[in-house]
Amino acid sequence: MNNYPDIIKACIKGDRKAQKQLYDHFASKMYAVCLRYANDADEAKDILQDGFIKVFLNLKQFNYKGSFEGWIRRIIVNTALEKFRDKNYLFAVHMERGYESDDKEYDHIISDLSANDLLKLIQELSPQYRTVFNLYAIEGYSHKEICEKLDIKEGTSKSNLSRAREILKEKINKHFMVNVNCL
Amino acid sequence: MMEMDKIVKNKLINLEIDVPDEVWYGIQRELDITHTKKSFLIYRYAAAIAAFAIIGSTIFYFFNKKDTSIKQSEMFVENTTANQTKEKDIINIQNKGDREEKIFTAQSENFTQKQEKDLSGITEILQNRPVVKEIKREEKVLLAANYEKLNPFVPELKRTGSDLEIILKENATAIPDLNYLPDVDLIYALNNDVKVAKDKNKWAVGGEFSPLYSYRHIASTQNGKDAAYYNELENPVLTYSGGVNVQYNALKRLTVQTGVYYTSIGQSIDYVGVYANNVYDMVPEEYRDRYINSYNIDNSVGNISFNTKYVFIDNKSARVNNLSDNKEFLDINNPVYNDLNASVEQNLKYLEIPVILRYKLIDKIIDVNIIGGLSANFLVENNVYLRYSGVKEDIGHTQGINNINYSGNIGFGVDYPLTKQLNFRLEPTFRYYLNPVSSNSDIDSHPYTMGLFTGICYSF
Repeated sequence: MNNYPDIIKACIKGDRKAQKQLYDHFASKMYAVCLRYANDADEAKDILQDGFIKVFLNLKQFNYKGSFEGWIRRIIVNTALEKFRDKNYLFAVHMERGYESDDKEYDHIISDLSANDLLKLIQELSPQYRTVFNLYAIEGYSHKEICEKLDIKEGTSKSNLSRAREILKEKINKHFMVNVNCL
Repeated sequence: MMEMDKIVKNKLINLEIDVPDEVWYGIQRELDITHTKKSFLIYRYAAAIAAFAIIGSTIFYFFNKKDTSIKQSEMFVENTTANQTKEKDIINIQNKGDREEKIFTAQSENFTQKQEKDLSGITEILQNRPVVKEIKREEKVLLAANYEKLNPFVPELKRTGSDLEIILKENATAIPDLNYLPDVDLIYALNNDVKVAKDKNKWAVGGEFSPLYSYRHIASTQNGKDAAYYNELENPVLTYSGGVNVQYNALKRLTVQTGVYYTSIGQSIDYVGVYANNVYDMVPEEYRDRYINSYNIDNSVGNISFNTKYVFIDNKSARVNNLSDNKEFLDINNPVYNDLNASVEQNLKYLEIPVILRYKLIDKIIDVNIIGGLSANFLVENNVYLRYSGVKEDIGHTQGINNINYSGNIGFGVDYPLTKQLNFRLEPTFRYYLNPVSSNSDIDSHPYTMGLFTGICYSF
């Protein structure tokens, strides 16, 4: 979508065709983002809908200098966080455990998994773990930023991330019947 | 970042999944509502300005817009590097409304292959900050622990997770406010410890009205006359129902509704000749009692008994009984009798307390719902009317009518949003009385109605 400034301007004027064009261009990618944060498809659809409404209502605020997709993605992610915070999904779960070391065996297994399988695994995490994992591992937020966003302590963010990784590994073991010790 | 994280990121960052069409329909609907709301505001402001021009020479009228409470925030995003895979952005949020400033560092991801990272500025208008309430941290930790236990990986057990999700939803309360950027609200949230936005649009109140097609179903008879006999002699009538309701969105698509309705049902009893006895009006008042007769009219709902100055005969069967000692011999050729061409109508009025479940089948611009439920109907009026020449005269009542009846309701309907909170509702509904309307009749008669309910509903 090389002509996105024109489309954005048309969207701001309320041109429904332009809005649909913009939506069609980004929706499938943003839906995948929503699915990573949501408990199920219905919740993901809600997030996507609310997020795009915000996008359309706030398009005037975009100044064409940054990444437009990044701008949309931030709104979608923040919408997901807002929804979960509203639903009381996001609450501090502080696990007193150390941060695990890198586990190379699982890296190969994860590399072989399809994106959809990986998405399902992440969806199985509890909202708190899933959110921290998404924000850190995929969106690239730091623990400091995550603790600010989620109103948790930095140590909690780290331990949640650690726990999320452990659970993912357990799920890989269980779901894909992998005996890592035998590798 | 661990290698595992990188692998996951690479696999998922550009993942695309087909989106169901309903999402776009929902977006369209919300945008339409917002547009309608803005249009309404424009007209309101125009009206205010016009009023100001007219009386402005003498009175300075300041139109108090809601926008005066709008809090503006500005975000300035400054990228430090243009070609890094991950760049630091400085986001400065200046909340003018609260006179507070907060600066934090955020990392934004390079989601596109094209690195377009420069200064970006966002000005945001905030409206309607959510009302917050506190949730005990211990409760949250407990919920989190339970969630993990009840949300196993095994797909078959996902339902357990859904149950917990419902519990969480019951404990939580929120629908996001769309009028502010979440980043800005996050700062507001960070300044308020633990907070949960107050529920929006969980409740709704409304009013409905419908004309009703009212009749009865004869399930069985024990008096030797079958349903066909009564069906030939009786007919449905047009009545009405209306009331107010309150509804609660229990689940995303499921609404529970109750309320109070005033419902009128009945039937007409045909082939009954009604004559005015002109002698009644001609004789002195002290003799008029002699021309009052007690009648009994047998029908499918129950016996009608009444005392009247009119003379009743059955033109087709033997349903009308004159119980008086001074039984009057009717000669229709006698000029003292005047045929009124009247009809007899049974009418029962109930206060109805329904419990209705409404399930949203289609969630688009126009919602389509199916509804079902039960109602407790409390008898408040029991009348039999004589209708002739525009006159409606109460002549008695139907005996043995139960004071409480229960009805089952089914139907479907459409909801059309007039504004963000106001919906127009159209619901064809069928109601069937589950128990016989009369307790001491030989006929098992169940009234039913068909109506087209229209109304509005205001959600909050």
